[in-house]
Amino acid sequence: MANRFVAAAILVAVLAFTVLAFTVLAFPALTRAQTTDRRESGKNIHRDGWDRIVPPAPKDQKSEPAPVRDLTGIWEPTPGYRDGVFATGPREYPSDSKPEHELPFTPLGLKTWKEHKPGFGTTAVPIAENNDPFDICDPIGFPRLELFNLRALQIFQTKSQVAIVYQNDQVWRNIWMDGRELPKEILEPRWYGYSVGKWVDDSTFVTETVGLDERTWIDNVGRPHSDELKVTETWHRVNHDILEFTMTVDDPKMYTKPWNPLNKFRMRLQPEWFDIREMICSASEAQEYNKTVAEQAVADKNAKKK
Amino acid sequence: MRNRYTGATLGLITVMAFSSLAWAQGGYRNTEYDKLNIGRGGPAPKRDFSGSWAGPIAIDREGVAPPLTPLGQKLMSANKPEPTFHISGTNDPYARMCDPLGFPRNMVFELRGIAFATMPDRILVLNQYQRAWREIWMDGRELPKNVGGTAKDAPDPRYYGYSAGHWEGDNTLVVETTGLDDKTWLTRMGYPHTMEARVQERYTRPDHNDLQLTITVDDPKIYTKPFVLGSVNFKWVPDQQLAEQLCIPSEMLQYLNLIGDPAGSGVPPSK
Repeated sequence: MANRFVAAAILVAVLAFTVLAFTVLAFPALTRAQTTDRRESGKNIHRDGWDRIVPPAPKDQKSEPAPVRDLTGIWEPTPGYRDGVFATGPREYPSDSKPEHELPFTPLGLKTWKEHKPGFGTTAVPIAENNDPFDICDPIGFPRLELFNLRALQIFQTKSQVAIVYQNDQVWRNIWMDGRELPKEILEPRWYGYSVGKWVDDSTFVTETVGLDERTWIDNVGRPHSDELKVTETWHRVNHDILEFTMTVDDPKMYTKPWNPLNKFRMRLQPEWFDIREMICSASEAQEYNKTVAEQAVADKNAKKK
Repeated sequence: MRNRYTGATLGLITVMAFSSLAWAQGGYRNTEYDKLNIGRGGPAPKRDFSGSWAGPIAIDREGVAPPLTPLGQKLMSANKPEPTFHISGTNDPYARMCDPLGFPRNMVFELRGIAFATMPDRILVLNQYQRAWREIWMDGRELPKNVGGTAKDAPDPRYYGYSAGHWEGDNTLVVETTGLDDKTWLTRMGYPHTMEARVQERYTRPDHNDLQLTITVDDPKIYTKPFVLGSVNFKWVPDQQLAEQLCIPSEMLQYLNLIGDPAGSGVPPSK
């Protein structure tokens, strides 16, 4: 149990709340987590889901040319397999108060962002006050699926669709490429939306997604979206081993112009025997964790006051 | 959470009360599955289940556990299944919290959509419900023997376990799974299992449009002999589309607060 929940929530909790680190270490459920962590990272050893050692990524990005119109395989962030955790927001726009990372919010966008109470970033609040829907294991949804805890993923293709299975929350989504158009009217918004895609050249696959449930956050720091959100993903296979992933967020209700949370984010092809680790949000474990940590945090705070 | 209470009156109230809980649009509900009358579709392709399939909400024949061991009895008595204790009194982690169903419970419940994808050395299984997936290794590897052990190299138990399969002939796939997280139940009846349980799935595709599955559980610490957990017949989905169908913890909480818990045991008060 430890690895999945820990990876999703606790791991980064330690980073952000150093004060809470002792609390986290004291939590018994984490005993196995620490073992897992050691196994995952000890002496830079990276293991797959069956605990097989994954060879370190080569220093260069050279490889054979990309096959034609083919993304099939298991991909993981590179050079570090944890480079896609994005606890404080996606690579290009972390929430860190730097002027170049300010998003082009509309007044509604800014207002909605401030109503969100994330656990991370410049607007972070303590766990007890947080209203992050993923904190209680509501579905992570799209595009947060790729903007927080982007880890290993596996892509397969058929004549009519491209499907991606993610380590993150153990979910899958599919992208239709049978020529259909996006739905013009969304009768039922979905947590993972409605996606279509097409090849724009022999190594570049572009998807568009709409119809996303407004309850989800775009990223781990609570950036909002409306029912008008349209997400474009560009998957460019640079060569056989390297995939560059770019995302565009376009939501005129919340942002005055489109922005790119990820720009040419690199992922590397993994060996065919690679088994993706299990990482699932379990609501009952999350509840217990939140309760334990929140209570401990309050107790620590009160102890300090005395 | 959608469609979970199909048999129960409470469920109907829920569905009517929350529009967001409306039955999944698209996809194959029981009625659509039952209506799927597409014939056999010719011969089955060899060693290939790739594509989307529709099954029933619950399996056709649910297995009944054989006599339990003393440990089995102890664990079983701690579980309060929903069919007996109702939603307000159950401690089913899935029913009240939307915790992951895990395997094999995800193969005997909510089967309206399932897809298989053939990849090098493995087969991916995608469930419509919860959008959960797992993979079956076909490269001849052996299953891990020490899952959950104290050894440094012991793999963690997983909700969906560790699976390896092989073909028997051109139309039958046999999959063995172990290392299952013992927090999960085998079925809604609260049947417990250990991490050492061995679960066998036996799939046969007699023709293009039919896929039959039988699941057998062998867990000698809990059950005095192996038993069939259930059998299910899947049918080929003509348009290959699956719906989005998720259990949402926040909606579940709302449901429990407003309806499930106030309703209590569901037993009408005596006059």
